[in-house]
Amino acid sequence: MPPERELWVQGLRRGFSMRCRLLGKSMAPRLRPGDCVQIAPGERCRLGDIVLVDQGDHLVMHRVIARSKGRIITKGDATAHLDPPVAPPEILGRAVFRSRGGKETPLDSLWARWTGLACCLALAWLFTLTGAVKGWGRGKIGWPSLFNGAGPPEVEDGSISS
Amino acid sequence: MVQYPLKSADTAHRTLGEEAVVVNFRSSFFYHLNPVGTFIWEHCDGKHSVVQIATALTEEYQVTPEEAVQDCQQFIDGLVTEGLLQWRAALED
Repeated sequence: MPPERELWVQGLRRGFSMRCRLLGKSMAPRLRPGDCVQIAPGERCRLGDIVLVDQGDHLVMHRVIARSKGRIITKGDATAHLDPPVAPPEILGRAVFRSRGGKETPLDSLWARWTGLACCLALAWLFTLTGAVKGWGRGKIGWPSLFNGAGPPEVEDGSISS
Repeated sequence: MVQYPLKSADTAHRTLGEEAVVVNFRSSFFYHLNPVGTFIWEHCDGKHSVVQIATALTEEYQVTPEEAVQDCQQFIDGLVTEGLLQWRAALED
């Protein structure tokens, strides 16, 4: 792990609210590459929150779409597959607001969480439907196949703003 | 009154070889220090004054005492402004 990322994660673990700049596209359009995101520390999260997960060599920022057996299931808004379920201690924090072009947009309000969740699930349904129509789908069309998605998760690297 | 520069509690650092990376948790900003900056940073422990750090610098690098004091003071003042260091007025027993 690069020393910058290690130090940045240490800040969250010590209870500081930290900023990061996004590189990936898996949370588009809500979050785009270059957006600056403020992360509140802690493992507490609600349905629809965008959380930062420590995956060892990567930091992934995806949306909470379900809880199952004490584990949290996340997914990128613009990805077709679910991420591997994570235990709460693996969650470093949740996104509070986004800065883009000098404008700050809240990410943890009730409106932001539920509209984000709706878009995330609608896109997942669309991906599943498109995949089935084109012969790419391997499962049934519908939520069960969505929850059985086994592809590799999209990775959203959290780079460090400086 | 002699003052002693001390690393802020809102920072953390990693030293790789002769260079260090310092983060300010309040701003999420990172600072990359060169070998001389790293040398000064590591001596900012609340126990060494600017003059003492400058003296140590002259023993490690080829620099006159006057230049060392001036450079140390300037560098430390900059780090204080950035919130990486703070001044401790007197040593605590």
